[in-house]
Amino acid sequence: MVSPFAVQVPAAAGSELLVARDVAFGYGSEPDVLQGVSLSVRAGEMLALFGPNGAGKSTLLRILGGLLVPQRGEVRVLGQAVGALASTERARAIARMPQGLDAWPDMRVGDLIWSGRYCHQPKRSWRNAFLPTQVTRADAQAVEHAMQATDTFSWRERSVRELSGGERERVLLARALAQDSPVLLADEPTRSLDPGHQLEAFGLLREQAQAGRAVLVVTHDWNLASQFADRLVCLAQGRVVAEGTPGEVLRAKVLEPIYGAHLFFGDLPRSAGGSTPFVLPWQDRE
Amino acid sequence: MDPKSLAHAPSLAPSDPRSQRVRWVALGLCGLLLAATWVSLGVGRSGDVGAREGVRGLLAWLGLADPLEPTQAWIVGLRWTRTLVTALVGASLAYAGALLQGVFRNDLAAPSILGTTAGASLGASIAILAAGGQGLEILNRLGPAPVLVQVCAFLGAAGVTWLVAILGRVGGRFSIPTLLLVGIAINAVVGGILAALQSFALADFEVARALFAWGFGHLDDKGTSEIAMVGAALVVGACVIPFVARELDMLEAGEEDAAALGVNLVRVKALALLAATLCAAASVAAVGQIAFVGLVVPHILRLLAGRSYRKLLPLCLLGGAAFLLSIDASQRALLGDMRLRPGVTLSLVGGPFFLFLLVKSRKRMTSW
Repeated sequence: MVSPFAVQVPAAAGSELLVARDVAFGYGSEPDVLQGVSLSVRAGEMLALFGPNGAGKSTLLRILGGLLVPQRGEVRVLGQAVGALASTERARAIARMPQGLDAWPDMRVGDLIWSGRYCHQPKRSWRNAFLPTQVTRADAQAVEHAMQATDTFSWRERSVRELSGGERERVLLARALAQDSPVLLADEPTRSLDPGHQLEAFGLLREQAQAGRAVLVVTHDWNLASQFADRLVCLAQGRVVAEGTPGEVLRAKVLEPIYGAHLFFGDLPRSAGGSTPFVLPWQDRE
Repeated sequence: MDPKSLAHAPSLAPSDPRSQRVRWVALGLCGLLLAATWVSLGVGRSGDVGAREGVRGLLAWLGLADPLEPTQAWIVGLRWTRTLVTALVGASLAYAGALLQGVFRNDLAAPSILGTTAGASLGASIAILAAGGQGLEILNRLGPAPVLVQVCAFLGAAGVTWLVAILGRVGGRFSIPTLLLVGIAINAVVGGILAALQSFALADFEVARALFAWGFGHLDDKGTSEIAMVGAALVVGACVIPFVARELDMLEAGEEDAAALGVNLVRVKALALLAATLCAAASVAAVGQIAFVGLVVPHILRLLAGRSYRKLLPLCLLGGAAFLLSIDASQRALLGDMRLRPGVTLSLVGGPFFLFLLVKSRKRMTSW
């Protein structure tokens, strides 16, 4: 299925939409959370970022999204420095699906998804201050397609607080899709989803890449990443320790030094030919 | 499902802040405000001047009726002044409370609890001492004294709010217990300084009386300068609603999330805090500290009309005015000459209400 989203990517397909160069960051008590990370995501590409707990994935995602300023290095989106963009310009360029929210607001699901369109709506000035917010056809279409794609349309009148963890993740994904940005960052989008919805969510993100977006997914699920992502990047102790296709990265010599020896590696044949590597956490018990 | 049918489904559209329920609540508040105004105009020591004379006086002022007798006109003028000051102060405090609750993402934040009104009171008291011995009428005098009181009240309120915002932040977020504890500490410190200032000023009875008046707000002896001061601050403060209301709704889910959606956090927080500080400071400079209006009114309106700040902020303007005027008018009608200062009444009503809110949210607080 071709995505219904009209992606307006100013660069040619295959060009680098999101680039991080030599990014370093630390907090007061942890000065070396990221130590010179470089990566790029191209238009039409889906990149999966993984690594052990505390590797710096969420911090890197915040920096890529322009929510944290790196102490060294730079991040460019669509050729422009993220830090130089105004807040709405940045949101139009980069959509982000967070792991969860600090607090789930007592808000209609429909309204939460609509908030993804905030960056596309006319900026408030004294001329339009007391007029109702204008909803364009593009806004309505983006919200409608996001609801349809994530199967959240029937919940639009429910309060977000009434939803289960998995349902909330689908709503956050719908909001990120409604944002309709050329770069999409997703932080563990399948954490609370059942296997069926995990496949759907990754399939949806894959569609976004096929429609011309640059998609970066943080995940702990190697097997979903192996099936859907074009490239995998492994982050450990604040550095990129492996980068390549699933076949290159999901190998014992790469993962066992990072995760230990309790892993089982294999390959599953694809119906279209070739094979997909898989990895299972495995401890042989008698 | 047919995509075309979705595009035109009304429920697909974002919620309209002017929903039918909100209109009913607004209508009810208008009714309450009118009733309270009627009572407020009719209650007073001069029994022969009632609410009818009050309305006639207004019509005469507008040139639509014959003028009242001079004595009646004077009494009616005083009652209208009190009524307007009370309504404007109620609206300002409720609105400031709702704004602070939006910025701090906490329903328990209110100007009196965070120390904003105490800071304004301290600023005003220092200005009164500096102006020296001009008593309660300081705001009705010509010259720099009223401006000094207003500016110092604003600086005091802004300083305390800024301090709370700095100290109440833990790991990039506003921590609810820390905010409340910082508020308690600041209220205690400011209360101590105010008591010390009052002690120093005891030699001058008028100054001491003026300082005491700021401690527990009162609505007697007000003039047009207070109406102008509070009204102007409220109009300026209310102008930020279209620029912050939707953003405060988005802020409910977290600052980082709102920033990722394109909200300019610095602008929104600065506008909301400035408006809240301006409104609270103008109220305190005009009538002294009246606690809990900013806590009670937004809370009740949230229950009636929902949490969205697009509804809550305009409703607080109406609800705050109706609430404080109702409290003032009903205690004047019921207690007669025995009446308490509104600041005292609000503390007696609002304190238990605050405790009720704390008890109600005990379960959530265990996880804070």
